Amino acid sequence: MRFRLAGHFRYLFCGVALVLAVSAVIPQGDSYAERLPDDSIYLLNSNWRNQFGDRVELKQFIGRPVILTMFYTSCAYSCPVTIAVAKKMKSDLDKRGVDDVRFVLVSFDAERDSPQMLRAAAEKYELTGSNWTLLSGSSEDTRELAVLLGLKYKKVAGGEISHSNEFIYLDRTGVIRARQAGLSEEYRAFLEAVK
Amino acid sequence: MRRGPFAIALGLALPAYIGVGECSADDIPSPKGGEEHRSEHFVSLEMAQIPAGVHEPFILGKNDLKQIDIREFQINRAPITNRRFLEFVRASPEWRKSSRKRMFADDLYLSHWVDDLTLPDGSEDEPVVYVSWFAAKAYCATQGGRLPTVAEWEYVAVSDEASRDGRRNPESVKRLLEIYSKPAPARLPNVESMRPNYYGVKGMHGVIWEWTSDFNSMLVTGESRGDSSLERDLYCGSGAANVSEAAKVNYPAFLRSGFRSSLQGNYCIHNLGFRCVLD
Repeated sequence: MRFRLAGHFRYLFCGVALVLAVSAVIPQGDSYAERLPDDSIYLLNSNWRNQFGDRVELKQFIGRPVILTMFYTSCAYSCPVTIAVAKKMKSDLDKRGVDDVRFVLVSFDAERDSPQMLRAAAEKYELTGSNWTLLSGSSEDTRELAVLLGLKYKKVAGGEISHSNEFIYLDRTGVIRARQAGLSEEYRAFLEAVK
Repeated sequence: MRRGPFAIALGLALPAYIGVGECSADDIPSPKGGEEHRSEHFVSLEMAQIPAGVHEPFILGKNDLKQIDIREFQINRAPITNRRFLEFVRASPEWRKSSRKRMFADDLYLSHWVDDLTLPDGSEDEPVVYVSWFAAKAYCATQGGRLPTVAEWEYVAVSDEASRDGRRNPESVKRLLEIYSKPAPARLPNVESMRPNYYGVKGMHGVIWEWTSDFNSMLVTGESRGDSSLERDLYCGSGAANVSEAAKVNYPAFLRSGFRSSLQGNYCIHNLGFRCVLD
């Protein structure tokens, strides 16, 4: 009896060890989620829609490096530049062999940027492939995310939104590791932080 | 998160320097009578009714909105006190000092409290301070409310005792400047001792700064070192943020704007509290 029990435990032990070994070799999103640091933006509960109309929570990006910026689709002046810079960053990262970075573009314009508007923008700027996610949400969630990220914005005349231009690199646990302010293409130091 | 030296300067030094202290009943006696015309604004001991109207914000950049429509709302007649915040913290353990997350409240969160559930002696009716924007927002949500917008807060704040807009009354402007130039008190006054404005709302000036839901709409840059091309590049469409004529008679609003622009959502500061509104 004692021997048989020990045998069962041995199988159990091997099973557990196997699971641990596999999860150590292939980090799963869930393992990051279990121990999110105190300063992870993924502690925030907020709901978004992407350019396909799917519901998205930011927690979905746990386990991947993310470059996040905020914009809005009807912005004529800075946002096309922002998107052009993001695409150039993507191509530079590809050259470096880093191809699992998610580019997340979150709209400041909760009132007008429907998933259809996001989709039209994604098509216009050729943001295709699974690396690109465009998001919009409620006014409250948008405000809260901007506060969390230290970004500023306000409505001004003519339906425009005056806003910060900044890229933010989030590591796989959602901690802000680097910021790139402005629209400059001098972002080498910023991209070096991405891993 | 960033915390520029300027933010600390504004957050700590400026209020101490210009003084946000004041306003105990001894300093400035409450007006006698006058409660009748405010009765239409009386909702409860907690809340005052604010009628719909149009707010003229004081900073007018080239593209800034010159008028903002305000819907009717109710606002706390006084800043939220330590006592009320303690009730909230009891019911919401995630907002206790020992369990708060750094992302949502920095290390100074409730640092004036003795421990998770103990207030300093005699501080029950003082405004709660050392609370982050996220904590303030969470408190208001549990009351079925929200933080006021900058426009709503300022709309209430421009009233003096006699009228909805005291900005054109030289006496009111002068007194406000005096309030804002007094040194900060060692101890915050009880909220009940604060003088009410036209709506019966107390403590809007001189006691503490207050959180607003969209404090991060101030694109006066916190790290401003002049109007460099870099600065202009950081912000879309704010290159010509000029102070208007109207702003010049509302210097306190200019100070508040500068203060707000220096904040981050997780900051907890010794003279920054809040009140809530209901739609």
